[in-house]
Amino acid sequence: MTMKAKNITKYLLAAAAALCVAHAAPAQSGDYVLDAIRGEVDRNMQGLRIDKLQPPFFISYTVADVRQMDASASLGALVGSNEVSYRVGSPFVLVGDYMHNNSNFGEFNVNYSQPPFSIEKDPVGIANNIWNDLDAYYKSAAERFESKQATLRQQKQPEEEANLSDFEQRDPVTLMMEPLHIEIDRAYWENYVKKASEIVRRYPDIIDSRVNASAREVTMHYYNTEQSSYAVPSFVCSVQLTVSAMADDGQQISDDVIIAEPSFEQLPSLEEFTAQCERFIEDFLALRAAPMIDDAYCGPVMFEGESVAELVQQMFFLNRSLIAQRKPVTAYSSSNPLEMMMNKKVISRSLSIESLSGTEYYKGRKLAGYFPIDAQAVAPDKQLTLVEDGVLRNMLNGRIPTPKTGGSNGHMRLEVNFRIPQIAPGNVRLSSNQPYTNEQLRQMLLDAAREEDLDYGYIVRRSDGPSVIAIYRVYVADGHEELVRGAQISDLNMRSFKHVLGASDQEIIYNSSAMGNMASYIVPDALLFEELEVARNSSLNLKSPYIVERPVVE
Amino acid sequence: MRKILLIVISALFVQGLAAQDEVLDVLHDELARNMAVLSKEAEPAYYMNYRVQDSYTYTIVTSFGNLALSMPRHSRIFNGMVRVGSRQMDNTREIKSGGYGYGGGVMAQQLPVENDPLALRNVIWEATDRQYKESVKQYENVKANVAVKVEAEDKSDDFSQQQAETYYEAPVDFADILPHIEKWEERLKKYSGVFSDNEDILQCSSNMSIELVRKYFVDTEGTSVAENSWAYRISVSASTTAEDGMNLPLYKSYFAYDLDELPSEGQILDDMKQMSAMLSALRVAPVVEAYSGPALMTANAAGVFFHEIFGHRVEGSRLKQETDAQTFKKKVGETVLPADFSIIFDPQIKEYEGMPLSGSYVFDDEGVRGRKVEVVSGGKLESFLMSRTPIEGFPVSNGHGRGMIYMNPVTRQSNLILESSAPKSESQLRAMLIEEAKKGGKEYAYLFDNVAGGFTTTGRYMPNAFNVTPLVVYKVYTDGRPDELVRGVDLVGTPLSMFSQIAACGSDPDVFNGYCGAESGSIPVSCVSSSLLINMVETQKKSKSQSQPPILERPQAE
Repeated sequence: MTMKAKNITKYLLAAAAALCVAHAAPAQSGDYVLDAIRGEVDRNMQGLRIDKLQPPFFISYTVADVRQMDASASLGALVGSNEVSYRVGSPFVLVGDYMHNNSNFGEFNVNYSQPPFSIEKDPVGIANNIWNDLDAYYKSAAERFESKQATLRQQKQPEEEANLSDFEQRDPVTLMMEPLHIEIDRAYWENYVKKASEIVRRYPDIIDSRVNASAREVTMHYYNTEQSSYAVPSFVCSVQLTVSAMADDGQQISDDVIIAEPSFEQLPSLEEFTAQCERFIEDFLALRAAPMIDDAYCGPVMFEGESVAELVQQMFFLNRSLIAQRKPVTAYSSSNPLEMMMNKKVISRSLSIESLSGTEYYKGRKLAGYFPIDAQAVAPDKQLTLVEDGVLRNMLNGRIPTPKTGGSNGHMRLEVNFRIPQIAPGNVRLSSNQPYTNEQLRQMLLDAAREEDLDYGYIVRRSDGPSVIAIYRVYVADGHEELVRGAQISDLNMRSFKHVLGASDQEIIYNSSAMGNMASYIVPDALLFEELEVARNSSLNLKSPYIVERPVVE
Repeated sequence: MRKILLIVISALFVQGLAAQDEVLDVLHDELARNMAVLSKEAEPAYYMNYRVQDSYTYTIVTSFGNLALSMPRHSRIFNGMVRVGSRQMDNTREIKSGGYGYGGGVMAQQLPVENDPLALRNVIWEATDRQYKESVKQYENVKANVAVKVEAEDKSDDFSQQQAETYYEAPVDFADILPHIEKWEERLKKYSGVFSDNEDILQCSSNMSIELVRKYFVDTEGTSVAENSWAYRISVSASTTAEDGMNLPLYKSYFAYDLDELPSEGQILDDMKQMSAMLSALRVAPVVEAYSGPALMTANAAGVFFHEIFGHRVEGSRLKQETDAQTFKKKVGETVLPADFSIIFDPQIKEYEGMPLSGSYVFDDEGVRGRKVEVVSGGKLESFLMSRTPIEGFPVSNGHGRGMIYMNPVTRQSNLILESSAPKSESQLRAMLIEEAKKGGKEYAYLFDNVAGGFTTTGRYMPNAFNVTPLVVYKVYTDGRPDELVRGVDLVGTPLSMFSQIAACGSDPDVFNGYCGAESGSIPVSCVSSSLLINMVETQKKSKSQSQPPILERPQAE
């Protein structure tokens, strides 16, 4: 599911945060979950020993306190509504030392079950789960360390890899933030989704529809044996309309509008959302009635609005191009080949990409992808250059160094399932050093099409990852637009960004949870590619029409 | 808590009440509207049904005295069936050498939990269209398969003719059966808290599930059912690990239709203490080797044993599949068990000698009234459990077509009741066990006291075998030494040879209430049996984890 929003006005994370380097965390933090983690992790650090095997040298544990609300409705009727509180634990144990340990040894699959996790204020109840997790994790880590050493004795590693530490040592940090305790009025959101979904009753061509509202408050409690600790809350809420329909030729189409924000106040009012949904449905029904694309095209294509952000997310992060990957010792998977292009041109010299994960506000607006500290107790930089004027400078990374990226820049994140962390972006900005107005870009599109003897150029206005949803022909002769359906861009990849004719001087902010955690993409409002191939989607499966008439209420 | 009365009244009045049920009205209307069109298509639908399961659940989970989850949920799921072809041959027929034939669950959809007719009808209409098209495609596959494969051994129809019935119960308010949640959270915490005092216990949980299900069924033959069921289930599990890495779990569950029928708090706490002590004993019990010889099964274990080795082999629709071993298909009238044994399946009763049975229902998931079936009488096989999939000699259903709402129903078990006309006392059975062991020159026999469950394979391509997983096993010595608790064996065998070894039945009936998983999903069943003496069983070593026990002791309060 993708979460996206253009408007961020304010943010409710009212907690006073202080990130500090500390030589030793306090023995009692005032946070009973954190104290329980600290006590049990320290006990395990002292006691986890197996004859002839290495003891742990590093342990961390995270407890995610989760409160989740979901409500959904269709055609004005409630479909479901739930609210639940639960806890999830995430263990991490290293055996050996920072230079040589059990990490980076292929996929790490600890086969351990997690018994029901206490949601009570009971240190022993919380410690039970930590003990259970760490015992299983340590045994696996100790065994894997031995296996890894045996494997390494049979291998010759390249010098640049052999000299890299397996896990980066960091100074301890402490960050204590108060829980948010945001009131979730489920009855209000039930009414909201019912009322918002009711408008679809007026559109009989919409076959299926659903309005969802969700809210999730999470407090992450973390401690590691380097004496880093933190308690950090976060909150995200969203409203979403999903619709599907069938075109007259049998193509099934679906689309959604999602608004995700870090506070309820930033979500649209019911009236605002309803109006937005009506506009969205009108556009969607126009797409349903649009002609199927009937010819192949190779020429300039402009992406506009959220489709630019979707594209940036897909090409640089969902496909993990700008995410570091150390080559595992037993290599079924490989390193990220793009890292070999470090300090070389990888995209147009007019474009730069930076990570702003440690930046709370951008031009006065709170960024939903901001986080003060990552799942390995590393604070992300306020600004980190990834690509500078087209040249690759860095990649998002955690605490496993890679040859060209060095150590962590604070991007190991746990929000996907609160159990297994992964490297993921927070705030990302793609910018151009040669911006154009949107009018100039449109003219450039037409000029480029004319240069190729094409009757029209293409503008993509809605996409879902790599899939094009709404694409418009813009005719060279008179500039009029024609929406077409069923298209795909077959040759779109990161290399396409080497041939960008221009980017808008206007920026949009787009929130997404496509990688499981909240991320904000600050991107130009339009991006013009020199040449892409547009053709009918070869995987379209046209359905026969509905046999029985859609039901209507008398 | 207010008592709820099941309302089952005359047909005339039933219709009047049913007319006020908005869900039922929508189902009737939409079924008629869709059938009117689909029955006139080039490949006409000849039968359709719609099912809805409206479920309210409340789940409480605790572990080591701590609350882990306390959550209500309300959901409404729709499913149904469209048949094309004819009763003699339709889209549900098995595709030989081509998988399982009729694909299930195409229609299962989440319905609004509110009674808005348009919102409900829209989901049903869209799902029906998809299901009809899928059925037509499948029917084409069936016709092609029939044309190129050898003739079916069983030439019975694909779908039985049944008498239409109308049955209506008034809706029940979940609030009326919901107990005081905070009170039960505290109770559940106490139950799992018992294990906090035992350092041997590595994991434990106590769960309570309160569930109210309202099932709707309508079909194009005129059947209309709205039936409620509600139940209270408490299940407790705890486990330890022996020094050799063997994981040793124990389970205890309680089932009741009325909160007052659940055992008292004190009784459950006593059970938990016994379970905790037994786990500590099991942890240090010796591991035994493979064995063949006589064994005694306690009533609880015998119920599961019969469900696996016998029950699954009298499920009618399974006997039609040409991939099935069809163990009993040609044995009607033959002696299959000792002459004093009888086995019935009866979904109509809700208790047996005061013990509640979880496999009860009024109508099955094909809209057929659940009927008592005497499968074995005087040791002879008399009948099979039947859904609306006929087999030769058994053309109609006896109300055992069951399935989760997400799946298409197949023949499944209900309440299995094994009885003997010549029951033996516990001491008689024990004496017979020792005598049989001595006869075979054995130093000891086995007593299987508690089982976790089991599984069986009934197909032809794999050995037609069963495996029952004992949790508590004793050696019973022939020389009078005290029984010895042991661990590490599974009970295995093949059904026909096992049936021939069953020697005697006890007089201590007990019930196992649980869930059975098979082709149509997980459904509640129960098994009633007394202790059983079996002259020859076979055991094999249980698989075990290779992990050592935890290195550190479980955290304890300071």
